[in-house]
Amino acid sequence: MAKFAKRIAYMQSTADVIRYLFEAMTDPDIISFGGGAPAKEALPVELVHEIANEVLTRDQRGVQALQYGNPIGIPDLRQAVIDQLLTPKGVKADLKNVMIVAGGMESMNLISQLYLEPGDVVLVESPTFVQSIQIFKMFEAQCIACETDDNGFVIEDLEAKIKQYHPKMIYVIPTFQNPSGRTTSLERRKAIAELGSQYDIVVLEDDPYCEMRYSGEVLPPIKYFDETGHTIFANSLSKIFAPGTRLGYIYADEPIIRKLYEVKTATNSHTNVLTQILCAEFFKRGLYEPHLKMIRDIHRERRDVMMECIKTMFPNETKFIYPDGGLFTWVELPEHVDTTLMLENAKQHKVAYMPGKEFFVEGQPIKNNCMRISFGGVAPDRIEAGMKRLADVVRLYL
Amino acid sequence: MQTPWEYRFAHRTQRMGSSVIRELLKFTEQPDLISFAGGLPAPGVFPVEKFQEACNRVLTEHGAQALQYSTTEGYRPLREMIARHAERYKVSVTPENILITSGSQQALDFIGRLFLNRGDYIVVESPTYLGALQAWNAYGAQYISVPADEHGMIVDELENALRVGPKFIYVLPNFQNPSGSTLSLERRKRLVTLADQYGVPIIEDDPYGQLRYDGEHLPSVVYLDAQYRNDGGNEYTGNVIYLSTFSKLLAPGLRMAWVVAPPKVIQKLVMTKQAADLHTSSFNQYVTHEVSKGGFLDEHVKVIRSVYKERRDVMLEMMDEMFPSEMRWTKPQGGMFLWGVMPEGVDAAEVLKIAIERKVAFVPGSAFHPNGGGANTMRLNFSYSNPELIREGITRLGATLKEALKKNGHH
Ligand SMILES: Cc1ncc(COP(=O)(O)O)c(C=O)c1O
Ligand SMILES: Cc1ncc(COP(=O)(O)O)c(C=O)c1O
Repeated sequence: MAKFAKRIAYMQSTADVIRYLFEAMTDPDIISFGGGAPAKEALPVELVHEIANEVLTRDQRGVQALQYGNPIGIPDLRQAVIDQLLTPKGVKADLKNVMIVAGGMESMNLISQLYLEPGDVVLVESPTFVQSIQIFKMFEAQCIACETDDNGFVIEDLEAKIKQYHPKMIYVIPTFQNPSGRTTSLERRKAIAELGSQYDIVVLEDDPYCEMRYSGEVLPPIKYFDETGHTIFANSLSKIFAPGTRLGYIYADEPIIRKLYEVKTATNSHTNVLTQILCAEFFKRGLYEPHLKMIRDIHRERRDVMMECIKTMFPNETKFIYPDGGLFTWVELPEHVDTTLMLENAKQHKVAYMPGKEFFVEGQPIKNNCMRISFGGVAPDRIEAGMKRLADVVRLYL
Repeated sequence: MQTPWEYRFAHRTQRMGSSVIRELLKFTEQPDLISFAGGLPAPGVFPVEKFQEACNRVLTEHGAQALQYSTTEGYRPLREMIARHAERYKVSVTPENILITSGSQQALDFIGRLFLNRGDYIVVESPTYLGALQAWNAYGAQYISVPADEHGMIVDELENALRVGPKFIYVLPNFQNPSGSTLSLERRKRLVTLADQYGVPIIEDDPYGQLRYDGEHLPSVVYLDAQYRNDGGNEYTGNVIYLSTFSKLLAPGLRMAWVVAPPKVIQKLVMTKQAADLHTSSFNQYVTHEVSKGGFLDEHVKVIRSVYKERRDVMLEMMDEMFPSEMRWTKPQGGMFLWGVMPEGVDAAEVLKIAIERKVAFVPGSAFHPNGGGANTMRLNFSYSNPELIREGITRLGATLKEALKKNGHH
């Protein structure tokens, strides 16, 4: 066989950890806080069933669902995204600004195709979402982490790194960040948008958790503060509709969407039409709002149980983040504990989490003593049982 | 400052013109225009009721799994079904040889990602599939074109191309898009031997293999490769990456396709997919499996064959009657396309402009030639329009062509 392209070597090690976490997912005896899936109880099975039954007929939308579609997506889903997701955020979008993609993940892929040359620098948070980093690296970009605190990017450090590295892109997950659960503050959102404009840098705002807020005040996206078109808002419908349908969207200036049309065509022609229609109908029938409330209620309870468990079961030295939404919290153990090594022991105790090391990239210290814990996919009683197991494991290491 | 967009985009996007095919697809939306331009299956044959039933069943029996994240490789029962299907054509594979992709277009993109460094060479037939060129242009590919005739790639000319040291050979053995030609058995065998001799992998793109209307089924290149290697094992470990898709068998809107390759390649493709879209829609995978199982897919393919066969026959018959005698065209034994050649010097793009005024469309052939040429050629699709429209469309096109040829000094 011919040799693989250079970009492929970057991807191996992360793939191994992810593979274990997938295994943990399918073993019913393991309680896994490792994945990133939302609660299965929050999936709109009945609603989708009802919709499918009604619209997938020959005289309704059955034929449309099965034929080739448009690379930027079906108009009524794009309109629903504008009306029900973007307009409430205070941004003014038009059909020309919105494109449907195959899951939020694909936005990072398409936008990397569009912008990244080998050697380009992407500034990222520390820690950050590994799978996006994998994509940037596959396009042979250099990812440099910047300092963060509880309010997101530390702006002074971000600006210093901009001057030092002349990056092509800033990648930011502003709300209930994966993995840390942290949220970028209002002032910093504004500052990031302005830095993009001032230094002519693409700001890739990846915000798949913003609708999953359980407490605290709603914040406008970075895109809201963007006056020059430098910010691209990428979002996923995985968490508010259904991950298995692979739907997401990009909201950006028209020239970007126009070019993405070509990129998408070359990449996979278009996003599948069948689930686009089901999702469009979900929004058009007014099902989204009540469903979102249900999603929030389910996950809020899980978050609360998880927070209580950490407070009561874990050693006092444990630091952790209280997320106002999303699926994750970030736990920092005493410095000498290596959570990657600890995972072996956790396996024996039939519990899984994501070792924190995976989320760090060059530019900031790598912390070996952290873990990402997801409360999304685990029912409250299982959270308690699992956290007890995990607390036992942690104690072995103190 | 306002972004100067064109200056910011990566170099790789500069070769992504907006596609001729996509531009032309816009015409199919004019109700009175008859389009032979697209590559669309006939909507009338979509098994809509079967799909609705399958959605119901999937949501009743596997609702939560079908709406949840799933593994990157793809839904195992679907991969098992595909493996059994391959078995029928004597290709011995396991689910470890199979990856589900979001259309074959995605597989082509992944192959580019996996193999191509900027400036690498790929051997292609001339003409070849436009979507593959679009995918690989993004990775800085260069092309070595090997000419083709009605029996596919002229394999005798392949050896020169292989001496250049290409990354892989891209071949469409059955009812090729765009030419409709089929690679002969002898050439398939010689292709396998040569590729092995030079250590160059083969990408076999086969969306139409099952849509054969007459003649004998020919063994796939992946099968011949396994046989050549005397590959006795269950798992395929040879030299070919095989692509096929549900787009032409069931429904393209699902974006459901598959790759058959040695496990080593599948593992790398899985990593590539993880970093692209995570996995293909779980829901669509469950539904595709549900629709296809129990022999329905086979029955349905028979229906498609009979519908498309009739359309092909009508188109060929009408072309005999209506097209100028200086024109030549292929008589494909299957698939969805045929290929017309006008006398040298007639420009198909110019003819298209007049054709559109006459409310009929096709794709000018030059787009399918990565290294130029083919200005006097055209691709015609016979699957989308019904026989009545084909008759009318070919009548319009015939008149247009006669006029164009006359203007160019023929007759
Ligand atoms: C930060 C972030 N971005 C993007 C995604 C991708 O979501 P999807 O591709 O399922 O829409 C995720 C999912 O976990 C995420 O955490
Ligand atoms: C030769 C060839 N390869 C690949 C494809 C893409 O098919 P899919 O719809 O599975 O992406 C087509 C579609 O027309 C084709 O003709």
